[in-house]
Amino acid sequence: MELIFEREDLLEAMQVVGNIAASRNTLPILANVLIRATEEHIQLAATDLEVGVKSLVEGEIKEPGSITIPARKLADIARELPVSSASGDPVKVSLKTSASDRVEIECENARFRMVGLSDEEFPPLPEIGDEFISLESDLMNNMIQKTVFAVSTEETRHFLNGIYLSINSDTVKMVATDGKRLAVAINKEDGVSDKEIGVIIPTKAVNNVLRTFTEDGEVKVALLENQIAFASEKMTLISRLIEGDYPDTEAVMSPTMSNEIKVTANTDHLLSVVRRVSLLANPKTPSIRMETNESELSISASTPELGEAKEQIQVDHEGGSIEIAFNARYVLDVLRNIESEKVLFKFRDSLSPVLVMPSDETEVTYMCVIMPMRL
Amino acid sequence: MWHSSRAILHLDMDAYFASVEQVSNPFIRGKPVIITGVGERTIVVTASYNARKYGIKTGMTVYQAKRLCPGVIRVPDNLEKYVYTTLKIREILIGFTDRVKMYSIDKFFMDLTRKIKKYNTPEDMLKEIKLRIKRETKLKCSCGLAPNKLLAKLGSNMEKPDGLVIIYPEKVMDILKKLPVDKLHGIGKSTGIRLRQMGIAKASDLGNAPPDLLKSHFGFSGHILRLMGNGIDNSKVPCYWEHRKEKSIGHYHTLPFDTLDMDLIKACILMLCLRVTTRMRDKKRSAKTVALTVRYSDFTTFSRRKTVGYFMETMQGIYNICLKILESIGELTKPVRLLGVTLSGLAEGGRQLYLLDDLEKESRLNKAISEINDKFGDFTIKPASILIMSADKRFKNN
Repeated sequence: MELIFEREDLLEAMQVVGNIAASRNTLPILANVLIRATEEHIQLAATDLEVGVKSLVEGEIKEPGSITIPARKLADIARELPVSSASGDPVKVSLKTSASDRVEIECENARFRMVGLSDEEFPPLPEIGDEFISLESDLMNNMIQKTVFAVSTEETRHFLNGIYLSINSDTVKMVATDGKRLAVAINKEDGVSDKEIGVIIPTKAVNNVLRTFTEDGEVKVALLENQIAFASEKMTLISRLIEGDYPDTEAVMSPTMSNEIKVTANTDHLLSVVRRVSLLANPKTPSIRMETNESELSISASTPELGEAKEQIQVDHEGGSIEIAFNARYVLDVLRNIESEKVLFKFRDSLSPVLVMPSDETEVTYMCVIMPMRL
Repeated sequence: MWHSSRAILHLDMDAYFASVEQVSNPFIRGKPVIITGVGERTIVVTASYNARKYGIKTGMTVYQAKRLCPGVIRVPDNLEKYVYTTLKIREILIGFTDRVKMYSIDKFFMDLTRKIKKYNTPEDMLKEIKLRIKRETKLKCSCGLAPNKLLAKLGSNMEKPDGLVIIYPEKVMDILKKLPVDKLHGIGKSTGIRLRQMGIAKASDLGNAPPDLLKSHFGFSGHILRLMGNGIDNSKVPCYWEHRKEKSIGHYHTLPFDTLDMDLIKACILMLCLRVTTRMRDKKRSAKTVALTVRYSDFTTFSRRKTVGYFMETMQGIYNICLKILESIGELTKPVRLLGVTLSGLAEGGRQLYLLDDLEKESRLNKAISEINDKFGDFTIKPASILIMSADKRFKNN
């Protein structure tokens, strides 16, 4: 095999692919990137058996073939190669296999000879078939960003360690919860899918989706056996799915819709107030207290060793008064993801779930439920 | 009269363990007695003053002690007895002030600032404290009264046994001028040698040493050393009911026999999880780190810990992490003798409520179990799998 890349193309691909390759694994092949060139195209691939990625890279194919070499090292080499050439042309990198799985990389005056492994043992990564749904990458990324913060890190409840993606004929929905807060992003669009889908995608995979599909355009989403695949023109990302039943989050959400105490505040203002006040909350479990007083919402925090902080903010207030405590981190996470100017809180009482959503939406696209702390 | 802003007492029980034994056994009173551990390879824990006359010191082997004094009486230690007596002494001291801090099993600090003025002289108060202890426990102690803990400790060491030393503020400097620097509490052998090499022999030399010199040799501790050299110590004696925040909560259990039976090991871990969770809940804490300690039959001991990215509150959550740790240990190579579960990375604060029913139920269940066990005693309610331990025949035999 002999290939010639532009340094930038190789680097860009390796930044995504190198990330996926396993850093610690008993199987050496999983730490390697697969480089496979046919007559038509060059593909780089890596997997840690949980998530796999394939990337098409532009380049000149002098001789087709395939090999695997340590992924992190190749990514590091690509990063350190000369940025500009003497002639001013884009920097070229040549990659050539020689006898006994050796790989020679040359760029300007730099030469590397690396020990590779044959591609025979590299686990096959599935291809997307004809059955898929299409999502705009920016919409998909936005929905992931708005929910991923609520994913549980508790290893003992593995079915909460991912985003629950549900799709039906006119709705794409992403849900995440750690049992203390819940985030739901919804997109209504006719004719998305003719089948009902409900799968749990691991956090690692969704984070890699955000990293991989940065360019605008359509992303195909397909379900394979126990796996999900995302594919753009150049990139394909495959992840195993989390097995298990996702809890019935609708049962948690719906009752909060009818909570009668409503407080509407300016999102950015409230965000900065909560950030300030929580500076004096207990650093480990930063509990803040919210209290309504007609059109004023007061936010306070106190820690015996540190002191107290309090600040008021003007709000629109309907229904009775409320005094409630939250983990400040949960409130901040939600406020950071509310894009609208105003945010609406719906309370029932100091021990019941609280609904938080953008206040000026005619059709709900985003909502969160936060469970309070005992006062 | 006492003129200092503070009056701190250090009270050190004389030849404590040996004296306690001599009180309870008239036949060994007035004789050379050593308290030792059990077995042949043990050492002298305490020597009575009669034994000390022969040159016997704490830390010697029994063999060495017997060579110095062939007639020495050896008594194996009885910690329960000593702890009981210590608590009794503590009660007596609390009768004088609630600013009592147990420094070790036979040493106490007391802040008498507010109380001492009621007496004609400081000696009167100290004599009364000593008398009360003598009357109720038949034990003697050495006392040092001074403006701070550092000097009080120094005072109690100046006259032993049955000493009573008062370091008046105006005498502090004279004492420090004569005091070898390594006699200051907190300056050990090696620091003492280093100081001497720097030409600092007496405590007052340390107090007068250039701060930069001390800093260059000892870093920040140099600053503290200099304060010590000047006889300054601002640390407080807290009230006996104030205690420092715990950094960890742990429980250990020695199995009645060594075993490789995973069911029993898991049941024991579950029991330990119940104990630590109950204590953690009592203290309104949650924990981020769990450590599992395993001691094999040959006493090789190791701990593995796991830190999670959230705060654990429930027994089940903690138990699940313990099982993960156990899994990561792999196959146990020898029969297990002791198990321990320790929680650390503790946070305090209000209880987070849960959205999902099963989680909230688990949290409430834990609370209910804790409350019932508080009321009716530990393990009134326990997970059924713990029963496996009591049902096992081998446990019954033990």
